[in-house]
Amino acid sequence: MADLISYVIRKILLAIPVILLATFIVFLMLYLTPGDPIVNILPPHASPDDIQKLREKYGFDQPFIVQYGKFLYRLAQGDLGQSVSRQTLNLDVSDLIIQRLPKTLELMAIGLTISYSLGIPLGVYSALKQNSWKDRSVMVFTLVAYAMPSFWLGILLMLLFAVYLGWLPIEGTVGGFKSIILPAMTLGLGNAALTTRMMRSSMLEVQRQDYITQLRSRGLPESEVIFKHALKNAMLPVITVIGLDIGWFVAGAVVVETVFSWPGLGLLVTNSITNYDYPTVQGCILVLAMFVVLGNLVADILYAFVDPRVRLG
Amino acid sequence: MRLRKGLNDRLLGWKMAGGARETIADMIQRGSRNKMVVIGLSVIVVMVALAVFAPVLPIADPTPSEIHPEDQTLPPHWFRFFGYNVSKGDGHIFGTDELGRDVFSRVIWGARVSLLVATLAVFFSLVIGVLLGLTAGYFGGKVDYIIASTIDLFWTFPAFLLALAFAAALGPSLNNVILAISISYWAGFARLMRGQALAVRERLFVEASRALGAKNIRIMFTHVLPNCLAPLIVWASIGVADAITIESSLSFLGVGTQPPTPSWGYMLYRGIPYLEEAPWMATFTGLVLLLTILGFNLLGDGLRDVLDPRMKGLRR
Amino acid sequence: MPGRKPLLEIVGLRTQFFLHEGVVTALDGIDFTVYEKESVGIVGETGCGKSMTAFSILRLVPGPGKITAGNIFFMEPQDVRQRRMQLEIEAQEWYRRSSLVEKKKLVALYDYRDTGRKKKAKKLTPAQIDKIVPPDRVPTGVTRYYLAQNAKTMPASDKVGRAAALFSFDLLTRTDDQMRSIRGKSISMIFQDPATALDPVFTVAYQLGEVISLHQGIYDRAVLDKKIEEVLKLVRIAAPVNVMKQYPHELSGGMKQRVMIALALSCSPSLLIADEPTTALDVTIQAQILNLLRDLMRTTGSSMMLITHNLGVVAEVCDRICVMYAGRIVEEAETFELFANPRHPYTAGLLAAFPKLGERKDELSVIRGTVPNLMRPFQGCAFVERCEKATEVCGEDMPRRVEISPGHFVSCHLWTGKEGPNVR
Repeated sequence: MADLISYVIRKILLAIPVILLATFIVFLMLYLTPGDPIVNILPPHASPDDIQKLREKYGFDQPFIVQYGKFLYRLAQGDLGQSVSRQTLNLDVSDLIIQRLPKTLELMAIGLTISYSLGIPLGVYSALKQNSWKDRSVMVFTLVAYAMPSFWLGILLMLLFAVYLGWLPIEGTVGGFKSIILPAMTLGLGNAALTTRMMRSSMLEVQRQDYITQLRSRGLPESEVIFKHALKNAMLPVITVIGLDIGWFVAGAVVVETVFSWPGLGLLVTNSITNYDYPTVQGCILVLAMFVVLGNLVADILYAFVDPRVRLG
Repeated sequence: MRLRKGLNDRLLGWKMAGGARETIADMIQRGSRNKMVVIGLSVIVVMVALAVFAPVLPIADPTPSEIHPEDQTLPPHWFRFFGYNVSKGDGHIFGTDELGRDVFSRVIWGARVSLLVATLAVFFSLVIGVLLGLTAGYFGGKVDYIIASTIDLFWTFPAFLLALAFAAALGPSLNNVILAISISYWAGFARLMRGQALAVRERLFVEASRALGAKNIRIMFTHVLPNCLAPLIVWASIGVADAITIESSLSFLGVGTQPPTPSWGYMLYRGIPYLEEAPWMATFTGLVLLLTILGFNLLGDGLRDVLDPRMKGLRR
Repeated sequence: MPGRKPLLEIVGLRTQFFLHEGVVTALDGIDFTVYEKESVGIVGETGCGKSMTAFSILRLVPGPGKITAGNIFFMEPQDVRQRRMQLEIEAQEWYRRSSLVEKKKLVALYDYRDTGRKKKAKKLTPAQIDKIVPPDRVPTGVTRYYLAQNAKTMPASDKVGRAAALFSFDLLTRTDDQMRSIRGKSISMIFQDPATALDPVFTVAYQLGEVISLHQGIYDRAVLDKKIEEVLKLVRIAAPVNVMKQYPHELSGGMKQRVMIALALSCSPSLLIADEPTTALDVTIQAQILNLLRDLMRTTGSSMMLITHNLGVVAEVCDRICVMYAGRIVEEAETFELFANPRHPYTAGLLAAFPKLGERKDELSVIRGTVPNLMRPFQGCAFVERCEKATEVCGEDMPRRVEISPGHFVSCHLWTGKEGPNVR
């Protein structure tokens, strides 16, 4: 147990440089931005004096390293700056994010659930029926599902379930639980296809292993060999990529939320980009980056629990 | 973006072909028997041909300077089978959009943009990735540690999120999209290259050529690189599919290619409000987009099967 | 070996792999017997079908492979065995007397698992039929057919014959469920590489406990733990309680192989198949494991089938040796006899290639050439291309098994007397 705790602490410490790099990249890219955010908030006929004043107010006139230091300092206190968009001018970015966060989390949670509860059984099924027509049709489905860009999938689902069948609301959140079905499906389906493929190849690989033959040679029932031993081993590679999955869901959420006008962080990012609201973009991307880092951390810890071969010491 | 996970599954387990080398003719022959390669390649060839010859093809101007109100959202002629009123609008096989422009010709010109962006972006990230990966994997030690950490950082971040951030920061333009994708996507190539370089480094023939006094750089390019070509080709093919996805997603979000340049993502975005009224605007663009991505994915998957010696064997 | 009871009797076993490229005959008519309380060594080069024999016995032939002919009699009572052999001879005679048309029909029944032959049977010529049904072999299908025809005429007291229970001790007639209760309980196997043959994500105790509760119905945790501890002590693991809690990767190679042996012996099987049990281990550990195996066989009274390519190993452990080449058994004899009087040129070559201590040679002797491609059907002896004593007949006719001295069998034309008098 002590091993496990020190392992977790080590993993957390290793995540710190990643977070720092994320803040640096986020800061750097907006520092280098050619467009001047100040010009955007001010009316077109503002005098150079006014511009200068505002620049000082937001600290845009200071040298790079000072700006970055201040940025980090404020970040440590949870201050992500103020929005410079016209609609939400001077509101705290952190407040905007906290307001939107639950919606994104909700979407990602349901999306992940869909993706694993579809992908894992389908992959196992496909592996067990290897090279049959059932396996082939599952493979064709996954090929198409993962080649499909999420916004295009979203549009198709919208067209089918909302426009023609009229079962589900087109966009927004007014429909209650019904409204989350389409966005979550859009988000989950592509990843479900990948999970399926991964689970299938992992399962096939495991079935070729000596220990599976060994277990069979002990007279264990086929169901136990497959669903206890083979499945547990085959799950390992799938767990290692949970971190990458969460990263994918974060990226996917930006697109999906835009398609379905789902009021989460992703929609906030796209709206802020069109409004040149850089502090908000900065904040959102940082928070999304945290998701990725957290996701990888969770995957690492989960993996240590499942695979006894991970060296904890 | 999403394929990065698939790549884990598809490429990291790649083992080098040991023993007797196959001739290229053998590979081509096996490739031509692989259905995925054949289908993928045919799709790609058709798309590339259409894109390259778009200016000389007898199709409508994708960005006419004048807008004819009477041409707006005309259904394709053959949509009469679905009960659409097609009194006018012959010659537009995919119909027209909300500004009366021919969707078919815009789809083809969109292919031009998408393929150009994707190919260039993959090329640049390939160059960055190969150079960094080779350097890290070959020299090892501190150099490797620094580069490998950077690779891992970029690898854990979803390429799309990075590209979105860069594209937003740099401002929307074709060059910036290429730049953004290149900076975000190289980590995969570098990771692959580093792994292969580490593996190849251990193999005897490199040891042998070093013993013969060959220079490091020479060894890297004459021995390590050619040995990694097969997985690189596969990854590049899948990479193009990825890059097309990222590019179209960016332009869907409005940070990619800017109108009036025809771009698939933006065309789909414009199609959403017209889903009920004029479904052809989004549908055909999306289909062609899907087909193109599918083509590159199929080619990549198929090539992997052809080139990966592990896949040979007991199948009935 | 008269007087001893056969435990496992393999007759004409054929295992084939059906691939895109063609049919690979991995085992081509294997005959051998393992008696009770005996260790038999199966020796041969890599790819000659040694391991496939083991997997065939357990009916665990992987993937596109199938057992297409033969019988594997296991724990057959003496009276059933005698009656069966008697009936087989009757059936064979009855077959010989039957007309060509009938023969064609019977050839289709040569083996009831070999489905492909049924359609082709009608077009066969008498010569081809003779090839399919060799004169010294009793086809299972023919016997069964004969029994079905004559069941009514048999006396009621002949339960074995009437019930056609004749083949019920053939492992190949067992259902999957019956087969599962034999695996691990009556026939157990030790695998070559203990590093890959133990499930990496379960503890030693879990894996042992699973097998023990499956075959012995022990589910009580405390009793089970005690039993596991006992089994681990049996294989001379010094600290069984510690090892129980560990995962396979935490153990050394030798320890893993001990755990594997414990797994195999946990339900006291009558037959232990050891597939190259020492190949993946360090040389120092190899001797320990071999000694352990030999001692365990003595104390438990089980039989062992030891598969190896190492002649030193068999010489040390086994009572009898079968030499395999290209899916066939070419020579079979007691250990001492085989080392003293190798009769098959392949066995002689193997022994010559095995360096003896204290003897200095400038050049190690080798058997020239390589193992033939098993996808090609052999007309004659599989060793013909590498054999220095090969004559014309060797390439055309498959040598039959000949008993040249009691318990010493050879399949070679040097001994069948077919190649003329001058060589012997």
